[in-house]
Amino acid sequence: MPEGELLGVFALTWQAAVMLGLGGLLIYLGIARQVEPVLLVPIGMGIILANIPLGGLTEAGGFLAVLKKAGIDTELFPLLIFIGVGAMIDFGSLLERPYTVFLGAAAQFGIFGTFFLAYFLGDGGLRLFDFSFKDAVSIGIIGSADGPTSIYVATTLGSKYAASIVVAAYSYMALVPIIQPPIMRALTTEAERRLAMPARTKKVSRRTRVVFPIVTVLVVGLIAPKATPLIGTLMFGNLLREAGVLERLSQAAQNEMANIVTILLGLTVGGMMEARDFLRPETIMIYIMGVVAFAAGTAAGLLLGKLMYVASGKRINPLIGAAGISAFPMCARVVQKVGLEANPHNHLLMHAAGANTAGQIASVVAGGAALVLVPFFA
Amino acid sequence: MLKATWFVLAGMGIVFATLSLLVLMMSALNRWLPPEQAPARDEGQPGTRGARTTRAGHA
Amino acid sequence: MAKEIVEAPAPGKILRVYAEAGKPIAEGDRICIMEALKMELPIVAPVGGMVTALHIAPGQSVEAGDPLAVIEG
Repeated sequence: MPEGELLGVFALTWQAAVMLGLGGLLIYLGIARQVEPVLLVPIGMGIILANIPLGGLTEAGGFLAVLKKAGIDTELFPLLIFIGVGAMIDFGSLLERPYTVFLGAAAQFGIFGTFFLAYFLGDGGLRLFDFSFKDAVSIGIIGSADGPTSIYVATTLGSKYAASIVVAAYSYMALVPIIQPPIMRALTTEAERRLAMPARTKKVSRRTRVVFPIVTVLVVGLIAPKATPLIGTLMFGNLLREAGVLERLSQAAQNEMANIVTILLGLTVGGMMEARDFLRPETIMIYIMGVVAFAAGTAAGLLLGKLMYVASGKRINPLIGAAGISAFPMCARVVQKVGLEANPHNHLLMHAAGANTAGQIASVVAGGAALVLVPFFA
Repeated sequence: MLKATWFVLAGMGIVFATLSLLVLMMSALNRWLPPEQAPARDEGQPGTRGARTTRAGHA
Repeated sequence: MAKEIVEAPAPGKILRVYAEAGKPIAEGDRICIMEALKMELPIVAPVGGMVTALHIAPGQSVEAGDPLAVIEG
């Protein structure tokens, strides 16, 4: 027996050691700093497991390889997560304010703007990085601020950077409270931020809430068919929530199923980060593009918010546009905080939640649109 | 890069087109399926509130 | 005598109540803290005056637009 098979420490390369350190860092951030612990701890542990030399977890038939084949290559995990997400989201704040849908739509510019930049730096222009058209689209999807959609699109397109993209998407979601406020303050005036919006809205009937997920699947599915798996599972989860007679299933989707799949998904995504694929300049660039994506989405939402501010005769606070990216409910909370700083009577939370849940739907549509369009362009 | 530009425009176009339809659909749902009974403290009729929403949707 | 009705800005739960019925309150003083979307929202008095009615207690659930307190100044 070669000695390497006995003692892994002799087979440890510096690259693998860096990855073990990175896994430890994610676990530290999750536990000690409480940055998205639910995701970062399983991902961190997955990285460690995948990079221990000779552990064999990522080789054919290994634990992480089997999970990847079963859950990621088939896109099963992100779709199962989406059933849970759908059961967790209350679309009431959106149904009470349908116009906030457009803020969610505008914020998806983060996806397409970042794609443009990534493609320009890659195969489309400067060729500084090894980014093909499909890689650039997958990188742009970080701007959806939506983990499951990022996984789904990146793996469907077969991007070689899928693991880095997913980790970037999840890490930046935790950084929303740091990335967004400076952009919000830079793009709005004090007077705009101070604008309070009415608390009272017209109520939405239960029948509307029940019909909404079904009609949304039909509308989105018939226009962007590639989005059907994502919107379908999201809205199925929401139907469980709103049906009123499926409390048990709704709770199971939100808790047991979402938790179990999160464990498996986190470990598997971590397990995809092997040193040889991860330690390259492209990975660092993907992380930089991730910030660009979140910032561009925030800015686009804010700019449409400002347009609405003017068009509505100063009745819509442009800050709620920043909630158009779909990191729910982090963005809504950030908007509430920034609005309250400007005016102690200014509670934008529910208005922002409308834009935020709209962003959830919009990012799925944008992911579907990207998948539909790629064959025509790439 | 021209094809990338078209990709961006087409992508945003699909997003806005789909979500515009969704807004129409939500406004229609709010109008056709108003709350079964208006809450007692709420003044105004469900119907007129629905109408207001429709306008807000086009704002 | 202006009468100001303070309304809940979001559906949620009342966590702590600071104002007392029958006592004066200054503009910017806290009336209560409520929780919505797992976030604490401090509700402060929009005007100074006398709290003539208080409709809330800790633990109570409220809808958006529900009256929380009435201030007469």
